[in-house]
Amino acid sequence: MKLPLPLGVSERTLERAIGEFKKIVGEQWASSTQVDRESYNDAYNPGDPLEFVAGGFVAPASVEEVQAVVKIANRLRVPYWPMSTGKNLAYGGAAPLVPGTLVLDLKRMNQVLEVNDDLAYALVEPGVSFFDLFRYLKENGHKLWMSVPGPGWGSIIGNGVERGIGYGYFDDQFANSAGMEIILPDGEMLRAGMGAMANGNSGSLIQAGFGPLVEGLFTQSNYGVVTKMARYLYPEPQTYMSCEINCRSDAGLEMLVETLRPFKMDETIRNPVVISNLELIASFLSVRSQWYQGDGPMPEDRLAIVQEKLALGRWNASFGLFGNEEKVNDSWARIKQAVAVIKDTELHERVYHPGDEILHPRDQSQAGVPSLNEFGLVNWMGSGGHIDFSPVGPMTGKNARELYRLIRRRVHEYGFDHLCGFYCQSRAFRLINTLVFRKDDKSEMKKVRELFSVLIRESAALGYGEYRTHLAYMDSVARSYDFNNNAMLRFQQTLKDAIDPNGVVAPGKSGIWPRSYREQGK
Amino acid sequence: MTLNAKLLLLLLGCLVISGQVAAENSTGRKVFGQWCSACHMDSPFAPGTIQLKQTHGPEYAVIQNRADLTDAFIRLLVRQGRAGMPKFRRTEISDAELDSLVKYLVKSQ
Ligand SMILES: Cc1cc2nc3c(=O)[nH]c(=O)nc-3n(C[C@H](O)[C@H](O)[C@H](O)COP(=O)(O)OP(=O)(O)OC[C@H]3O[C@@H](n4cnc5c(N)ncnc54)[C@H](O)[C@@H]3O)c2cc1C
Ligand code: HEC
Repeated sequence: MKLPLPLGVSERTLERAIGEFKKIVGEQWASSTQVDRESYNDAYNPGDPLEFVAGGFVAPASVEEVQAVVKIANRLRVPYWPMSTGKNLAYGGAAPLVPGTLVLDLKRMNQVLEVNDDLAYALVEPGVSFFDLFRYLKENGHKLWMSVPGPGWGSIIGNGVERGIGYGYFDDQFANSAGMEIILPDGEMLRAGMGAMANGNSGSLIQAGFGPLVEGLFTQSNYGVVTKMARYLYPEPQTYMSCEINCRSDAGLEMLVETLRPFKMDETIRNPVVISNLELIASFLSVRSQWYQGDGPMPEDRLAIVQEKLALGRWNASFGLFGNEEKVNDSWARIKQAVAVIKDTELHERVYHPGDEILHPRDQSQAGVPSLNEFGLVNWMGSGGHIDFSPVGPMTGKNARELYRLIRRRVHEYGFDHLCGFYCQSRAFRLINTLVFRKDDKSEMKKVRELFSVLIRESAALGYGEYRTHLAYMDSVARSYDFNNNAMLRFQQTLKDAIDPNGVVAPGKSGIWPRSYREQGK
Repeated sequence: MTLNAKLLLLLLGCLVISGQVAAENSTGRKVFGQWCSACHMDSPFAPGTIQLKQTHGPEYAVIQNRADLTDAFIRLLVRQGRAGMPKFRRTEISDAELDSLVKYLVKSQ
């Protein structure tokens, strides 16, 4: 099969780049063989696995090697897609948007550079996964907790620059980071915030130094390569209580949101309140065929059986309370009193102290213990396809119901089960809708693709936009941020032309295209 | 060379070889712990184990306990993936690490 190539790049130039990269990183760490190219495919892509195939890869082992590589790419005008651990599954995995783009694989840069016990942070390289940092903290006796997302094999930097969310105390990955080091497309090194002082001593501690804040420009963007970042950690608490509120009736959603919001607002609850529906939790623990063999969404009577057998609610809220025993007990007493008015609920709490073994999956993730338990959901339909639709909305019962109703109706109309969870921060939620389909069923994948476009359009019509999306939908989502004739996207394109005039970094990421592509109608 | 010296050499050779096997097994175990066990350990929450129990039956659910896995099959699964299991790249599991992993998992040689 002929290799697809990015705009303006010939096969000869690509091969020349690979040849030059090999001299920098070593023979085995740059390649364009078919096996290597396809090893970056999105494992859960809703469509042809080769839809977003890479043109090859280069994997530097140090910042100096990154600089040398990006300089070559810039000179030859060969585009590359940076990734840290490449586990961006549900949003495209390690794959680049434009077929034939090289993947700049930073997994080999996997050093934990510093852990500070007093100021509770870790400074890491891109290839450091949550599993890696967890092991490091344990082996070196640091009593510090991370905030881990579902996939423990993702990275502090990859998840951070995607503005992902973890289950722990300092939930939001980007908001709780600092000390970003960036390699610009011409190879220049930039340190953000207080790190911009050559002898600065607070680079890893707070975002922003003097002048405009630039860290955010390197999240979900294509302006440079992030080579270092510091992540805040949470000093191991005296007491940790994992709390669950299971509401047996669907009607309880509004009340759950309304009742828990004040506790988020005053930070009684610091980590995200996650309100998952029955189907989502069932997909972590079982496969659909155990319950139902028919086509279309699982009928109500089957859902009732799942609910009974797994002892779950239609809605299941979970969160943690952290601190000293007194504070935790007082918080839980106040929350219990408030939720007592919600009908049909069941409350559970599990308490841990330093040294206790934490075994329950949700309790682990809230305590920063990484795992891959949530990957159970990709087996729900039997053959592992998965894409997330992730709009943001105000944390009110009315908004939660409105958006949930819209999405559930459409998901069911298209014949799928609706698996979802509200990840509530203080004022807003991210409603993660996990669309699971069979990778070996072309018509099912076609339906998912169509459904996804409908969801973007109809949610946007009500004012809900996605916080992040799969490669296939970056343009549509960018266009839905349409205030003042897409002033935001136009500004982002202006920056693109200034920072990356040759358009080599991740063309198309977040709907931002280099000038040459825009001239061709992108 | 006396018989004793020959025996001694032989013994030393065995020690060296068994040392290599042990090292390989411990690398294999480490790679398994780092990349596979989160999905394949013997736990009601491990996605690979849940799925294999459903599709292959309980006796095939925990891959570490199985004697029927072959060298070629494991390599194929690791480098190609299947259904919900994504493939692993060389920057994650090097070719040498894969060799150790295979030796650790293949029990019926
Ligand atoms: C079952 C399941 C559960 C999930 N749960 C969560 C969850 O709880 N929370 C959550 O946030 N996500 C979740 N995800 C989504 C995703 O898997 C994680 O966000 C994951 O951490 C992203 O992969 P990564 O860390 O390997 O990032 P990468 O794949 O390395 O990076 C993601 C993208 O960021 C950019 N990028 C990465 N590194 C750099 C760099 N150094 N410089 C410049 N740009 C860069 C690139 O565009 C890249 O494609 C889930 C996915 C699945 C399948
Ligand atoms: C994200 C979870 C996940 C990880 C990590 C993972 N696997 Fe799997 N694995 C699965 C799933 C799910 C299946 C079942 C696939 C199917 O449904 O066809 C599977 C199947 C397998 C099988 C096939 C068993 C059979 O009898 O058909 C082998 C062998 C295997 N995995 C080995 C490994 C090895 C070795 C690793 C580590 C390098 C690994 N897996 C990592 C999820 C995972």
